[in-house]
Amino acid sequence: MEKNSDIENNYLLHKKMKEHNISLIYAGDFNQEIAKSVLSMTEKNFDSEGVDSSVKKKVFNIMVEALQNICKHQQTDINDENTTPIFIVGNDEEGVIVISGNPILNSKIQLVKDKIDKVNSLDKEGLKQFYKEARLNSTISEVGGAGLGFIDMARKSENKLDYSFEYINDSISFFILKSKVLNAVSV
Amino acid sequence: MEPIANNTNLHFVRELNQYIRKNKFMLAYSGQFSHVMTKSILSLAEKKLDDDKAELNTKKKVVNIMIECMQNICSNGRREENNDALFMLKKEFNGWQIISGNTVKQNEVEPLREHLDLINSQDKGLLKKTYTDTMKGVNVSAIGEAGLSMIDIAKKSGNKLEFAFTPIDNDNSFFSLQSSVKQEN
Repeated sequence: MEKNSDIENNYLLHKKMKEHNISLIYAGDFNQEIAKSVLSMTEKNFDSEGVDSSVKKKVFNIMVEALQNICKHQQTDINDENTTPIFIVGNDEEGVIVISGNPILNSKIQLVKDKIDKVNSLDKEGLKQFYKEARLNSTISEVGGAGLGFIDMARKSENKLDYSFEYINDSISFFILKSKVLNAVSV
Repeated sequence: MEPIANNTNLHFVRELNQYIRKNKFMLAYSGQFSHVMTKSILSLAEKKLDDDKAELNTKKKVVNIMIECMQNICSNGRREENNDALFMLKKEFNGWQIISGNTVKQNEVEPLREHLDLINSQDKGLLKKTYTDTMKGVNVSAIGEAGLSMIDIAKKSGNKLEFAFTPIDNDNSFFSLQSSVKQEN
């Protein structure tokens, strides 16, 4: 039974997670119960790591947005076995990172990219203003509107949103979104 | 179509995703295993098993094995003052696979290997006897408490345990333990 090459990969994964300061990876479809569990688990993890409560609150908001993002996309017409939504939480000495990954239709990439770029181009005041405008203009029926989500994430993280679209095939890509909340600087 | 915004810093996420797909795992936690953390991991895994429509008996077995694995990690951690370990749950064709990984000292490798080989050589009846003997203090293995829980894992799983020791440095190895539970119909 020993020396199974598959099993040797466990150590590689462990190393990879350490290398990128990742503590939790969840892969698969989300429902509300699972999302709740992931949130509670992260909370417990933060408690044991001694994460500041203001940071915790911000991270929570971002996680909720990121999970909503995944949920929204898993309900769309992408039903490809090759893509599994992924949700990652990690923390290092600088702060906490939240990463989501999900398939996206190639036809939607430009739209999403424009939204994030716009959000990244604004400062704190600009974001606040933009949020107000977006909230007034958004309609409930707007599927995948999600402009608000990005604005909210950027406001909570107080950092630029990092993203990537990785090509899978001619119709879909893998959309990765990363936000980081820095630890509060003690005075 | 060429990717219009490919960020190399985030490429590892795609790599992880490919690895996940290939290995069909659904949950991986790497870090410290405190009591509260253990409870949250169990609760998340339970939700996931419900979502996957695991039959009650199967679910019970998976959860029990998870508890033994995490106890193993915790008791190892108490000794080493560092319980930085890995836990994973994988979906298999007709069941689930529970994986734990932690660092062990080089001198622990042989006793662990002997113990696991012994477990794997025994059938159900013999395992039960070994378990009772160990409980009574007869034949206590060189690896102590962990020895008992591995017998328990083998009993619950009903399948052979898979394991590997991957050398980390001269003094330490990474000990992976995999057990599987088949879905009951």
